[in-house]
Amino acid sequence: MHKLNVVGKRSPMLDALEKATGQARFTDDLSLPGMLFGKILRSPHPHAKILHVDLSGALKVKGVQGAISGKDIPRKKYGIVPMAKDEYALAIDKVRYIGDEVAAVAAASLDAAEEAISKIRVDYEVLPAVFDPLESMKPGAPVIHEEVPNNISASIRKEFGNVEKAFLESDFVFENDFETQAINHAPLEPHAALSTADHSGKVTLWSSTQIPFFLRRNLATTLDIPESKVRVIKPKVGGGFGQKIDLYAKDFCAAFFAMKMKKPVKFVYEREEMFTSTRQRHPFRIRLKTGMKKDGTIHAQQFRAIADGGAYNSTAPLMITLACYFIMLPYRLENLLFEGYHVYTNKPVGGAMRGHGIPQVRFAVEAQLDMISEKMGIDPLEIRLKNAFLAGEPHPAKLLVQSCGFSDTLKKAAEGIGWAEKRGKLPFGRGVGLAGASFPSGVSNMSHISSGAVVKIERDGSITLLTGAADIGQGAETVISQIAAEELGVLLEDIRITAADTEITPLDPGTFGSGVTLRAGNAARMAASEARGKLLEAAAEKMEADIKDLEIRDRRVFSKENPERGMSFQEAVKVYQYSDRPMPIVGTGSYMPPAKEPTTLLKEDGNFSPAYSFMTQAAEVQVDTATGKITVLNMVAAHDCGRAINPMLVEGQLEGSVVGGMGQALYEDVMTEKGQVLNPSFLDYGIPTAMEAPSINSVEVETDDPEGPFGAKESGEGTQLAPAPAIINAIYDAIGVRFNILPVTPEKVLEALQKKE
Amino acid sequence: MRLPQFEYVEPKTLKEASKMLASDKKTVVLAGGTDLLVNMKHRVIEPRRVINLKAIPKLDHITAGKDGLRIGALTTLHDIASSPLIQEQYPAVGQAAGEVGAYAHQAMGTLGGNLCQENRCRFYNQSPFWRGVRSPCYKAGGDLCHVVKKSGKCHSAYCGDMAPALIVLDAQVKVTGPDGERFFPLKKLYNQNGKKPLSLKTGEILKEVFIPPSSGKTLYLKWRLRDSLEFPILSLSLHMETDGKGQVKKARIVFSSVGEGPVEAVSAEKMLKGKLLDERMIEKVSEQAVKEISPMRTSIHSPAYKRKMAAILVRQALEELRNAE
Repeated sequence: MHKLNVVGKRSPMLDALEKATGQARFTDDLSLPGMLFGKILRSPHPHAKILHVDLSGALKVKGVQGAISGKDIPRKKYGIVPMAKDEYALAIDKVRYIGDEVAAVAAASLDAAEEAISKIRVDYEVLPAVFDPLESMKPGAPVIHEEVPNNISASIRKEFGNVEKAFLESDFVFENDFETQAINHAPLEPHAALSTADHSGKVTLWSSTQIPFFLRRNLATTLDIPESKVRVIKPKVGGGFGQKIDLYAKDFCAAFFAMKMKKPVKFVYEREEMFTSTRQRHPFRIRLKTGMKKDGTIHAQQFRAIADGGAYNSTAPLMITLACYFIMLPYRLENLLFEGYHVYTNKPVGGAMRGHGIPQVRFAVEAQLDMISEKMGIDPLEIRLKNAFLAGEPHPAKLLVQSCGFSDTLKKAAEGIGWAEKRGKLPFGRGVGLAGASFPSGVSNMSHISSGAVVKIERDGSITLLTGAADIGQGAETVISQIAAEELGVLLEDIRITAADTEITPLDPGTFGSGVTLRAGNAARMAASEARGKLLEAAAEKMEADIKDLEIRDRRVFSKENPERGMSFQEAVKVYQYSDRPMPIVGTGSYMPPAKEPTTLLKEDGNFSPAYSFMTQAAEVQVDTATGKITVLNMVAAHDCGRAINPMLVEGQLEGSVVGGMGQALYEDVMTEKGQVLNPSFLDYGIPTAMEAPSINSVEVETDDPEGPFGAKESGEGTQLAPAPAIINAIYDAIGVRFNILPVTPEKVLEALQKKE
Repeated sequence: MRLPQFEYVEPKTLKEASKMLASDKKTVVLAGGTDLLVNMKHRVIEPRRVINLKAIPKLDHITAGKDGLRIGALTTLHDIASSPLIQEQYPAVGQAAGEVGAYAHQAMGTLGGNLCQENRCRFYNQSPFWRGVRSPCYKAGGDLCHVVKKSGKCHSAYCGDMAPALIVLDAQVKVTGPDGERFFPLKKLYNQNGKKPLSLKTGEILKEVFIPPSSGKTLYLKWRLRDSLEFPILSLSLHMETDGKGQVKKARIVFSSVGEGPVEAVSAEKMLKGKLLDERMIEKVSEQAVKEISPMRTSIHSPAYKRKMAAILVRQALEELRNAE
């Protein structure tokens, strides 16, 4: 590969200035003439039958133009996983958690909308509710969805190898219980939607979404209109972390009212609604049994994982399946029995969140590995290195790992934290710990899983790039532009990117599963390459050169053999035009990950992702033994991202993930009491602030993946798998106390220290 | 969340403001707004009229005199935290101001507003939707307490940062009412009534805080999970004067967030008087101080944890002052 010019550069995000100066327009910044404001009435009961909804009071409020309840909407269920649809945009027969959507209003002002929802009268028949997943699984528990009488809405039982035999062959067997808490994604931008409809019945929706094309499909389904009648546009999005991978009532209601009243309608959620009525990371109860060989080989593992799903499915079957398969990386594991259950409760709904089911099981595995290494007298770093998966090894679940820098990440993270000097050698109260993980770079084969791109070379030599990819703040548009610029031999500033508008840009699955760079990046590269070929054809003709001998770099077309011979990029465009070739120069690309035994994993094994990232986190903590307060001093995030298209953005992703993981380990917890969220605000839900952020050292390990664009793989999402166990392992090194239940608050540390005395 | 509708007035004198306030029970005064506006958005306070005090001159000042320091009620917490005068003479007061909420709260919030802030409770500081899940509590106009059922009173907690640090320094407050001014100890501003925590009479508005000259040392210790944004899980201020040979002449210990008002550990203070501050005494005093607080489950933190932390903080404060001798 020749020297890279744009890829690998630490370029600021394309919209950095716009965002820093407040010019960037998010959904709530948008306004249309005559726009109405919407509000949603939510259930105060965790479980109740809706007997009657009386909207008349709302309709009498001055300025109110419409009010609807579940009986007014098409009886069309939705769900992000087609096989697990279980939700109506507004509850129809019953409500299943505190915050479930019951009715909606649209009014000329927000004040009127707020007043109107307080005037809606709902008669409920309160039903017995269940809040604990273990209780919910018991016979006789209240049934939350009639179609699922045992409340287990998704489950997986999967065996690889021969687990029973493997445990008999094991020299040591360890068995432990672990528990993780509910975490809210807490994106700074609240969920919002603005919709308008024209007289042909076509609906346009601006939405804070990670998945414009899936949203189009789900919206069309729930509105009961053809997909071609729906256009979804994604403005700037202020973070998603998986929470914006779903249709919400605000999307449906904005569009439904817009169609009904032929006026634009906007819905914006309150922060409280973000906590009660969107999605959260599933709390897990995990029993993990591990069989070890004397030499430190992990020989067998058995899981029983129960996910508290809350009132609806969202991604349930996929989430529990990912938890199963990704336990088989980054370590070699021949014998696995995984039993996983997604259980309904009358609580806020679980969904995809940064890591998607994997952080919870990863925590169990990584924490237990440290217990094992202590009992067996093997260094935790050594035991991980010994079992580390290697590129090209056959995988028991047929995952195809073409590049793998896991061992390198282990070594570099250990080196960065000072493992050899510090582990077990620091004074009481201070300690280091590490944990590893692996994550897919997108999904190999599902419906809607290919990405498209269009590249147009304009008359002035600038480039228009169309991509369906949804930048939600991670910098996807910057990275995709860098890839296109590199391929075309122009500069980053030559690219004008238009993204994520279902009517204008090509199909793209959206931002989830960490596939954007690989998928949309490859599509952009293909499109750029095609346009480049057309331009070079004209240039070669003019230069009387072989097209294969031509190269473009730094806005200059030249002969590789004789670099003096050439012309500027813009001149080449002129040559193209004057040779009577059709303008504009258009290249298109569609990328679908190669289908070598591809699978969604839901029904059969196979390769899930075109590439897998690997990472190790190492933490150094200080525990104040008088108060129990834990300070994370340093964090090293070593990440095999294949190649960093933009190292600065990769570091931003890693740092964000570290702080998020730290939140799970020490600070965050969506607490509920009888289904009611006790801390639905940034005051009481304690995401770590800048004051708590540790010194973070991000180390990129480059393995140049054969499938990734310029070798790039996932970065950022996978990194959130390992910080929590790394911190928990460091706490053990500091004070000799093991915590198997998250989060580890000062209160728990104090209790544990007193017990220890 | 939106503010409810209200009439807005900007009087030019405190006297005028006081008369307006006295004339109508559904009138409130606005200073920095960091407490009031959130409560209004939550609809736990729904005033008919809001009096903005910020147009009234001469209420924003920090003035040193030979008899002590006077701070105008509209002085922002940020100005207090960054005042060289306060940092030099009453560092604990500056520190307490610098620990209120986050930077934006300090920039907007005023001393008067902070001292007069409403009590807090996990059942009270919530949206109408949230509170609608159960019947209204005493503080929100209902007739029960969700924290302690059947107790017959409101248990909301006073959670201010400034009051403890000022009470231990014997601060006095000047208030302006329709019939003139009153001057009394800050401690008496709080009547330990969760539903109506301030002893201000009809129409009275806090005008100024006076801190007498102080000898000895003062500390403010705030316990919270994050180093920004949060109200105290609990906090305490300790003031101590010694005879220079380690014997305690005078001690004051005042807590926040563990009762319906700032709570002074009077017996623990008496215990310290005339004693040497040794390890045993520190142990005894911290045990005693914890007996004098009565935290309830008004926040997401348990009363048992608050007690445990109270003992730890008292001990830390005493040790710090002893070591500073």
